Amino acid sequence: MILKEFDYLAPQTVAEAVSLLETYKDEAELIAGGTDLLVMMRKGALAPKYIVDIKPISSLDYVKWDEKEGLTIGALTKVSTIVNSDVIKEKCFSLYEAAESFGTTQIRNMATIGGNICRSAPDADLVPPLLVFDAELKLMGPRGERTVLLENFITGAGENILNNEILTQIKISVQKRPHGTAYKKLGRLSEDLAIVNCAVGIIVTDNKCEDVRIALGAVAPTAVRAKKVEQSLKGREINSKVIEDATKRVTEDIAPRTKFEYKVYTSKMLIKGLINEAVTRLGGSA
Amino acid sequence: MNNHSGIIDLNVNGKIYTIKVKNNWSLLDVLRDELGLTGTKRGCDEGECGACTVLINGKPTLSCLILAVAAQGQEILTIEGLSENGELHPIQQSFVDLGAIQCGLCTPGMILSAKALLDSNPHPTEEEVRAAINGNLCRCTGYAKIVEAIMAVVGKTG
Repeated sequence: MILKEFDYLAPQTVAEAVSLLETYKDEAELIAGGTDLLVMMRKGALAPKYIVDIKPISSLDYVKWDEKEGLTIGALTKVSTIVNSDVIKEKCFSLYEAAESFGTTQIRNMATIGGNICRSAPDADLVPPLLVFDAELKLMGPRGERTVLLENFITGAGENILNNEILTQIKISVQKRPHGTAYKKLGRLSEDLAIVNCAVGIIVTDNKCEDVRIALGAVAPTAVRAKKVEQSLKGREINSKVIEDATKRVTEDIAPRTKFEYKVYTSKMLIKGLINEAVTRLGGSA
Repeated sequence: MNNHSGIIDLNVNGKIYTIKVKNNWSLLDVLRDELGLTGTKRGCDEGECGACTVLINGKPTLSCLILAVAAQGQEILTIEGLSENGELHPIQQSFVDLGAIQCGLCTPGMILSAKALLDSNPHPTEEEVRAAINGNLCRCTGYAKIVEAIMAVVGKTG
């Protein structure tokens, strides 16, 4: 289907971009990598009158680590940059794993982390590891800047709290204590949308689970933390019975539509497998 | 001129083309219909098949999902830019020699993805080759000859 016509605007700064969003509001769509927007426009699902291209804003393309600020990633950082980042591999391995299983070679060269978050799809591949690491998002709008937890940013399938605002930065709390993480995207090819994707982070002391984070995507309208499962693991000894019993509670945390009951089964399997994998990776910063 | 079009400069295969385009034209549309460079193919037009793959600043990119107006100021390489003075690039020659081409629709995209891989990793394993071309779908060959053809030039390009 041929794209409907639109005005094309290419702001050079965040301030310019925000001003355009404020002017054109619902008639404008931001474009970054374009790997979602243009597909939706081609299918006729969207027909904005104005396209605001933020790719030229090079100040939003970075991966930075510093002891005080932690790990910060500019919203326009490409998924391929994340795959090739030594800092991310070292500090936040499951984010590297998620980026590596994202789309295809070409899509990784075009898509951005900000785009993946702002598209807010239930199966967004980068969201689960970001949830495990308590990602904080910086938003810039007409009324200034605000910081929100990723957990509170996505509100429904394809919905988030942006209000004529632009996501500018993702900040990750790097876990300084020895911990293990793991990520898996279930699908036949990386190009596929995830059937279920899951990220786990765990801290174990004296063979007891001191803290654990489990995030699942594609099993509810938004990615979710499996908090009941986490509760059932905290403070307990890590063994297969404890893990088995804890993962049974995932039914209280996720809400796939009933015809997708296999997702409940697969979520349990994934969580079990990933906890075990994360435990084997303990001690390092993986 | 209304707000739905503009004049842009595109750098394709080392040459600058100054053309008038509409905002809603993709780079693929412009390469094929305005510049007559029909080596880049239209497969799905929605970023799933990779037939439209071109190299932008050396990186495999889907030209069906790039607006032409957004492609200015970049170095674009299409399959036409690969051969020099009528001589096929070693990857192209290998595809021909090893029978890695059936209908040919996936071929330009495949070859460009392979070139990008070999430019950054001159000695890939077979697994790395398969991963690099995972965004280029082939409906004819089953990929075996394609992977063979790429492996056959490992160490011989660049």
